[in-house]
Amino acid sequence: IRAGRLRERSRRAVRGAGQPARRCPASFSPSADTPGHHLPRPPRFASVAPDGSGVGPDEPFQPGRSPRIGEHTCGLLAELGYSEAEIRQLLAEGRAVQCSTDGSPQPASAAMTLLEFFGCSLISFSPALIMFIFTVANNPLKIIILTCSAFFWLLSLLLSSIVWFAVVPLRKQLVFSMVVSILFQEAIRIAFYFFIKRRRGAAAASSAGGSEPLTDADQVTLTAGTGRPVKILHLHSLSYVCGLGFGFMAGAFSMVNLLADISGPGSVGLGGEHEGFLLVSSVLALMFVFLNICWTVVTFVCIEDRRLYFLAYVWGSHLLCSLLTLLNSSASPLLSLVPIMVSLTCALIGLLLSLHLVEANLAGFFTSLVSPAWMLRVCRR
Amino acid sequence: AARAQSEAVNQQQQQSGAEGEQPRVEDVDDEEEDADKLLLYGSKQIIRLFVPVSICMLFVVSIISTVSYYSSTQQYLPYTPFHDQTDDPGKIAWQSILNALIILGLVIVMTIVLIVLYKLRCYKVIQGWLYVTSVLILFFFSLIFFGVLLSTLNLAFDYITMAVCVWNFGLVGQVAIHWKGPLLLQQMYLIFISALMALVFIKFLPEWTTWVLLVLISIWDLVAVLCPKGPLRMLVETAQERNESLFPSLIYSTTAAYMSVGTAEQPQQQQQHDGNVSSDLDESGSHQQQHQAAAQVLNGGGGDGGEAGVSGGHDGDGPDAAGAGSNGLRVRNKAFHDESHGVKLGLGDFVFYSILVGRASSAGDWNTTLSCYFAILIGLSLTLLLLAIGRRALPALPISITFGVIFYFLTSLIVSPFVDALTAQQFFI
Repeated sequence: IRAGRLRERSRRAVRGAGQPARRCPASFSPSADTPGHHLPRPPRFASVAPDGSGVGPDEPFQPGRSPRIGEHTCGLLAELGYSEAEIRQLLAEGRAVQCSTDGSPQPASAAMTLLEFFGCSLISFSPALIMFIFTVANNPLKIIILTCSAFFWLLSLLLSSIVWFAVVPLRKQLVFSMVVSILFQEAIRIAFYFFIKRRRGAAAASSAGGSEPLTDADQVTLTAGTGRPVKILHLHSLSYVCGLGFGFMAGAFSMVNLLADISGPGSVGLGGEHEGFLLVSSVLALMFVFLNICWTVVTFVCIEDRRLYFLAYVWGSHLLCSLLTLLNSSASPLLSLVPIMVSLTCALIGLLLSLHLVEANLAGFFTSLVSPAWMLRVCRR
Repeated sequence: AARAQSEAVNQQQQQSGAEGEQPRVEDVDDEEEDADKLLLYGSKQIIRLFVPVSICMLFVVSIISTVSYYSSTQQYLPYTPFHDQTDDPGKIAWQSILNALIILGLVIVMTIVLIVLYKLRCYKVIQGWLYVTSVLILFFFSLIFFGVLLSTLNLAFDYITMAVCVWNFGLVGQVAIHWKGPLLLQQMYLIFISALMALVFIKFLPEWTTWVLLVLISIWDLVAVLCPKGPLRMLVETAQERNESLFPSLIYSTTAAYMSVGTAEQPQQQQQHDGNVSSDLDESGSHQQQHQAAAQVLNGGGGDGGEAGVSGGHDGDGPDAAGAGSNGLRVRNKAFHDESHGVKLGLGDFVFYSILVGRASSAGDWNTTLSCYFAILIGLSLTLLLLAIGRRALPALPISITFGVIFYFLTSLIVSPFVDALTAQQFFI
């Protein structure tokens, strides 16, 4: 959101400041020698009376302690030309910080934005991170496939952006580009299935490095022509890893700029968005990570098993969840509940569907998620 | 690496054959099984390189985004004399091309000097260069880095404590890199050095010069390594003729496989370092250096990790990294398992990857940074796959840098506006 402004900020910083700021006439005095030009006023010594009174431009130099951060905010803002009401609003919004004399900031703005940053990033990415740590990180081949799938999602985004860029008259109508993007994503998903299938014969499991953490069904032991057992990664675990890669990239591209913006001073929402903006975005990113995993598993397995009618679920739910996020553009945060709940429902349906397709033991799966035995097994590895 | 891996396979098979576990692989000519084994080891080696490359890039990106010293360019090197601040595309184009050509010319000159020195067996000169430049990086550049870091964090530090800390830091780095030390420590220092060099380059090179330079350096890398008369290839062949290890320093190694056995002849560590290292700190004289991944000498006992990539020149007082105990004659210990087959990647590759990602992130857009990061990783894995198939020294720069540059421009020009438009209204695709 603020990426454009960030870029402008950096560009402006590189180019350097231009003319004296128009809002702070008090910092510049007309130069006597060259009429019409201004010279900066000589700097004030940053010293203040121990009672903490605000600075004035004409106070005499008093040797004292160095100023604390945020000590002279109100005085400086007043000098720059802000009115009392504006100063109060800036302080309330957290864009300016005024410390009391003992140095404790009020309000704690920097800590708040960091908290928001960590909170939102954990909402969006902690499930994906945990899934990565427990199921992917110890298998080098899976990590490579994860990277490949993330790259493929990037390719699909690239193609859809090219279409968006090329069709100039429809640039404002994001619906068109969104549908095109969804089509490209699904096409790339299917293409990735064929790509993986071609390499699967040569893809070896990391049998030397240790066993799989979650289930031994990950590996299938085939006997090659010579009778030597060869272990390859099962298609189901491959599809899960691909889905994780797709989902991670999808979530990352929608969230990183937002997260970078909110970790700076101030917070999003000052441009007119509602307070729940960040929360809605983070939760939706989380939903889409899960959804991508389900979609990928369903796609891969139903193509493999030739039950192509399940693709209707994938495409239908993708279109549904994505187009429902169009409701987010309104100012009310409550309307955003619709895409969130629908995405959640689709994710649950997708989970059950994918478990059914891979013929997993549903009861066993859910108990294994919460049973201490599973945790112990994982921790021991 | 592939040569090493196939040897490892044979070794493994022999070992297990001796234990009567599995049939020998040599009987099977099945190409798929061969590819199986290659990928089995190959994926591990790829990951072993992903991690340090990612750490280096992450370090550079985090420093660029927090420390303003490295993201602002006020001074320029004497090698980039054309750096007008202008918006005219034609002027920017010819200025950056000229700058990059000057730097590339320096790289070529240094390579030739290096080859001449090596052919004339002036090992002491090369070694001296190496020590001096690593002293410069580990002490002076690190001092500047820590100073700038402290000022960003708004911490107070006195000079005496700083002197003691930097002295210890630099000295331990020298020992770890040039002599013996724990592998992890050596790897950390190499990553730190590469990141520092990348930061210096991002600071001192004008923006468009950086991109043109990246492209030119990767072309040079390709030419120098693959052409029959290419300088780097001649270097590798000369080293192999003399049965010496080629520049074991300046390489990031994933394994400390090389126990220096006390054999009679121990050739000195050849390290190449070109560059008139300027001691003038303000100028930050950075010069070209080249370093390459070593071609390990195959001993009678078995193979070692082969060359993973040969990097082209990179600017700066080079990170010279003597592989711990890397010497000419290597005897592969029979007790080693597949862990001993490390992969090597030249430090210049680290530097240029980090320059690319750091420059991408200095624009402030994290989508661009992400896509460049993944493009480089994919390029690296493709390079390693090609290495496994081609079984000879390969340049590690071209594929990754090409992908990275293409994706940088495509993402920043086309993808980012699209994604920004979507996220501004919270539309998810």
